[in-house]
Amino acid sequence: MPDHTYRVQPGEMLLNKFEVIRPLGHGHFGEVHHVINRPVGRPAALKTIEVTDPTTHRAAIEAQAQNLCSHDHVVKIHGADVINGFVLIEMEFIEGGSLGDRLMQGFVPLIDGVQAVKEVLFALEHAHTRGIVHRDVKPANIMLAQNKAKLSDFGTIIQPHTGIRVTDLFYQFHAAPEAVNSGEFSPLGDVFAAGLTLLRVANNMPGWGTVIDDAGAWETDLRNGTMARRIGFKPYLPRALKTILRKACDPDPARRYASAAAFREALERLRLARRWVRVSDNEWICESTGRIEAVRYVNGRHPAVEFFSGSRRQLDLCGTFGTEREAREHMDRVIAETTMGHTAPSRRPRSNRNGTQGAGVSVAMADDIS
Amino acid sequence: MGAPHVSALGFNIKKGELWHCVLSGTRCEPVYVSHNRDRFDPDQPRTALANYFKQTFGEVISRTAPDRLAYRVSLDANSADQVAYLTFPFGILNLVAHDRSLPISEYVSQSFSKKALGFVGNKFEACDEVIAGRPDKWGDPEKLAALAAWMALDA
Repeated sequence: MPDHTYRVQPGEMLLNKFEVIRPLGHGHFGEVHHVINRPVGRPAALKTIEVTDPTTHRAAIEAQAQNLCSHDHVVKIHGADVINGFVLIEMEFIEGGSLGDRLMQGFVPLIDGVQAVKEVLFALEHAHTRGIVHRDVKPANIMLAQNKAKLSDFGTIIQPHTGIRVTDLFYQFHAAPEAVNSGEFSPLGDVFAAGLTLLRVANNMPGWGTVIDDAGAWETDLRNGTMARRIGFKPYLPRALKTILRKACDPDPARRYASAAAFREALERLRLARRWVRVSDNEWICESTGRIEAVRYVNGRHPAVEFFSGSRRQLDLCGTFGTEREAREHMDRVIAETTMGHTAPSRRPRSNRNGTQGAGVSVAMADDIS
Repeated sequence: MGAPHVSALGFNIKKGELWHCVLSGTRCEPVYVSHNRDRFDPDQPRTALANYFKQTFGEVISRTAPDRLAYRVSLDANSADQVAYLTFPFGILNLVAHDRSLPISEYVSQSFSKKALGFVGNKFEACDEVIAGRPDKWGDPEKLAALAAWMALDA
């Protein structure tokens, strides 16, 4: 086994067992490689963690916790080895990458993001019943297997009632205020982190962008638990989802969902119907009951919004507007409302102040979370 | 001292709602432990619905730790969509029971008879009159889950 300064290389054979194929990623605590476990002919993800004191086997707690939390929606642990200053954890290899990767690659429809978070909430509830708090729920730790999301990376877990943990570190950006301010870790902290994760996925926000440009301000938001308010909502998100996210990300733990299961059940009640994909700033498409539907913003002297179901224009959802802003607000409202229901929203016609015709809309451009 | 009483977890499904109820004691002296409802979207794709039920059954069983399972299967389904959420889930429940080595029993409403449970009058009223420690207010869907659990208790 390599010494402490060694870096695993593709093509290398580790422990006469793992043939290294390629790196998959790295974090604070180690590197992950795609490997083939040659004796059993199994592709796997191998995490290598350098440890200063291998006699304590502290890093192996990660593998033990992940194994303890074995579940359909948790990445499977195949085995762990402690050798020469390294802990090796062999895990299920998931071809699809993470939800974080998906966000980097392109638009993630809301219905897909909600489904992934619901499945991870099953895993979190399962972990919580075993006394484990994850402390690192984020898009990069939600792996997308075929038709299934799986929670990964138990490297920052804690068992609050015993104090057993791998490390004192945790993912600060999604941390609940009680964790940031007084080091209190409970399942409610994971609910908060899952809420922020869903908010970022719903907003299609792969990184933090300008949200953390002002260091002083976002650090204050972290301490106050108001990071979600800083992020805000995209205007095309359904109102019911915003209500759920506000409760999941409430700074006061007593006002949050009481468990991961309660958060998931609230998401179950959403009944999302349309899988809208934003093709560009001016066009959304989806398939609904066997038909391709499209919503388009059309620029012109009187900006317009057109809704097509198949080749038919759905007049009650179309409209012309006095300004681009009004037209885009209408488009966002149509997306928000039709995401929630199989039937299109009812027409609310009116004349706007410029005399043009359109479905009556009044949608804030960027809702604040408060 | 007698052997400790077993606990039975009963399930009942109606559109969009999965009800469960845990009873302990015996068939003659059933004792209420807990009940709850999990809501679901009956219109979601079949595969997602199947996964929902697998995970939710697992979650409820882990939380309530019963000795045996029971369910009331509805015979009211008259479309494929209704079969998908009223009947399919109990196939999954049987698989979960198999995986966890838990005994499981199937009932229909007609199973909850005066002869089987030894009550007088209406079966829903019997839930109020016979089950000790029952909640002050509970509706028919949760009582059907309770009746399934009641049937599964030892005579």
